[in-house]
Amino acid sequence: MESHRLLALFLTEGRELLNRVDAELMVLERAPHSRASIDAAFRALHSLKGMSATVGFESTAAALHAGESILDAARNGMALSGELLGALFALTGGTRHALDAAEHRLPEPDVLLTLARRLEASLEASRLTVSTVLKRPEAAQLVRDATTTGAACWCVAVQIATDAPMPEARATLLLRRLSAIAPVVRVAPGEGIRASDDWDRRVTIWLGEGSSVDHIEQVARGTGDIGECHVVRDVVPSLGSRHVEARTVRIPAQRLDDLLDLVGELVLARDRLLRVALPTADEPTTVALEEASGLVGKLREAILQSRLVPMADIMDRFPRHVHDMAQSLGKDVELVMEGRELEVDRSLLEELSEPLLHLLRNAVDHGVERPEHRRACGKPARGRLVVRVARDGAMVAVTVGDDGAGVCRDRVIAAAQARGIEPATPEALDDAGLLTLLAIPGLSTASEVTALSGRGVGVNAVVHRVQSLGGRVDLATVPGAGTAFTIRLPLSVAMLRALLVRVANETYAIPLSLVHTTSRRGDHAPADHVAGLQLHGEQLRIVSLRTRLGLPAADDVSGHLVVLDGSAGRFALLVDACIAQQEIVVKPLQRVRGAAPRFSGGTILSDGTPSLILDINSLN
Amino acid sequence: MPRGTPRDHGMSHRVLVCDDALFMRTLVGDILEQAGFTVCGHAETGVQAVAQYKALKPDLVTMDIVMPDMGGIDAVREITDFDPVAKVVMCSAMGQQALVNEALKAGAADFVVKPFQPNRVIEAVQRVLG
Repeated sequence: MESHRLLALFLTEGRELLNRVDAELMVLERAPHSRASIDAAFRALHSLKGMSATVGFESTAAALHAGESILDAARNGMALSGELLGALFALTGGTRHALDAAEHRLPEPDVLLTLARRLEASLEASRLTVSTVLKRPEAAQLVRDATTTGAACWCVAVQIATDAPMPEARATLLLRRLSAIAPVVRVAPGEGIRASDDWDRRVTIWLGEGSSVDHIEQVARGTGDIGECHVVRDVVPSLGSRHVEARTVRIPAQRLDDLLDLVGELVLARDRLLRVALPTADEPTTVALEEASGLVGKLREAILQSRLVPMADIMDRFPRHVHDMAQSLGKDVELVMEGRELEVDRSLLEELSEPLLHLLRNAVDHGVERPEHRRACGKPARGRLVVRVARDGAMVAVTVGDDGAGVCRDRVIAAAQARGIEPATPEALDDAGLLTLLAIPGLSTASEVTALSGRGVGVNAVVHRVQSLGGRVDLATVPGAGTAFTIRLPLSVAMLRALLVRVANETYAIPLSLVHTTSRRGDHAPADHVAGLQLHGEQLRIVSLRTRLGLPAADDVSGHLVVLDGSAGRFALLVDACIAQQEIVVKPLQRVRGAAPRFSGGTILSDGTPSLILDINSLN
Repeated sequence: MPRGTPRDHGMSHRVLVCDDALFMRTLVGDILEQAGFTVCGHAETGVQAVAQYKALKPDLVTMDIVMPDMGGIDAVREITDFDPVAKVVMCSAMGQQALVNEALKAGAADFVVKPFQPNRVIEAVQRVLG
């Protein structure tokens, strides 16, 4: 024994390893084919063997080696019989005696030699049966695959360096190194492809439990000549999914959000850099800057791509929802869905889920009539609900339509009037005007509208939510024929184009999708915040941003008017100046208690200054 | 000083160099000694390599693939049977990928490809020892 320290390590670590082997053997008693357990036990025995040999316990090492051989044979398809497991349990017991002896500075117990012989004999006996039962190596592979597909594992994606000689041999070395720290459950592509000239030097290895991401990466990179190496959590793919291209990996959503966040910042930093450096850059610098700039753009595209998820992820829940709602309301509704395969940014998907459920509920509750009523109107008893998703330029448009009674204008107008709101032209109220009324907070819950055929519940919430994400809602309704709400949202809600405005030396951002027009204040009559603005024959209220933010009014009549489409209608916002349009990355704000909810988020502008995003509906 | 080099341990790693060509043995020996390793022995055949390994218990072996009486791959097999943690780096000519692959499966720990670039040889050796 070299030193006290080594002896202490041998004892503590050795006992830990023995406990691990026992635990795995107990698993194997119930599930003799568990590859993970076989491998874990194998590794522990292997470590113990090395340690025992190091301290001079050669019989112990021999016995452990024999145990290892049994597990190795099991890896290759030999069934672990009760007898073999018994021999392995005896091995851990015997090794414990050896450790006890070492602790008391006694020589290795004789029993270990006997044990080694017994294990060797058991293996020999079993091999004879194996060779007759499991001749085909594929049989063992099939058993193994059946037990591991779908199990949690690590996915190690490696690209052998492009300039490395003998990539196939390098991959073999990589596999060997990884198999020493965790069981290799799958490898793609297989050896045949790796040996061919067509192989692209990429190899993906699925490793069973038993190591950490850092350790795996360290061991993989330690192989040498490794170009790229990524380690992520995964589940063991089935044998069918051998193609690396077709495979998917699971990664925490937060990482995707972080990536998007970072690339957003990178885009802004790039813009800043270009603005600062380009004017004075010489030719080579300009070329390099532009190349880097182009790559940043591509990177952002790639990251946005990686965040795409099919609409089906939320839409596939709808049939059940609609079915349950219809049943509880005594209605008969058929749901038709289109475009569920369309892919959208995952943040968008999350944001769409709630408003869409709202609209579906409305359609079933207030749109589609009862079967007897429908028959009386000459319609099929079964109502029809359509959810249609389509790309609309840089927006995604989701329509929820029904073939129900339509929105009753008179009732909506009456409800608005009851709240003291007088529509400008009630007799010629178009669908947009109707939506504006429906979106008046409070009106939506008025029982005289909701209990009858009119709509209302939650329309305000839907409109408000969608607008705060930089989108808009449209309504089309025909009495007796049906209603359709269309939500349009930018494809990515984390980035949006904004109009930057200045008030009292502060810059604020307004989602550009909500901006109707801008104009100089001087073009109109001087006005304060109660005065109105005449636009295309429409009288608009003017709201001063200074006043809303609690700042003193400007002392002159300079400034700009920004005409906005708010959820409660169009109005003009008075600001000191309109500065620019810019792509911004939306960052959520922590709500400060007691603070006025004037802002829907924050952002960093391309010149590096922070800016708040105005929640325009809170201003009107 | 990179990790795994001899000076980390206060003593020089001992290397057994196996190649049937004196030239290659000298070349590999020079590269290793210049990097601070000690060449503790040479072998010209696979049989010699195995015998030398057992006698010298070196920290590392460099092994040519094609040698008289017993090839490098069989020598690796015998050496790793004798000492499962033996560290053998295969030395191969270009175009011997299949043989290198076999040697790795037989237990070799890494490989370098002729013509040798000193830095690649040292990198491989350090990887194996590190």
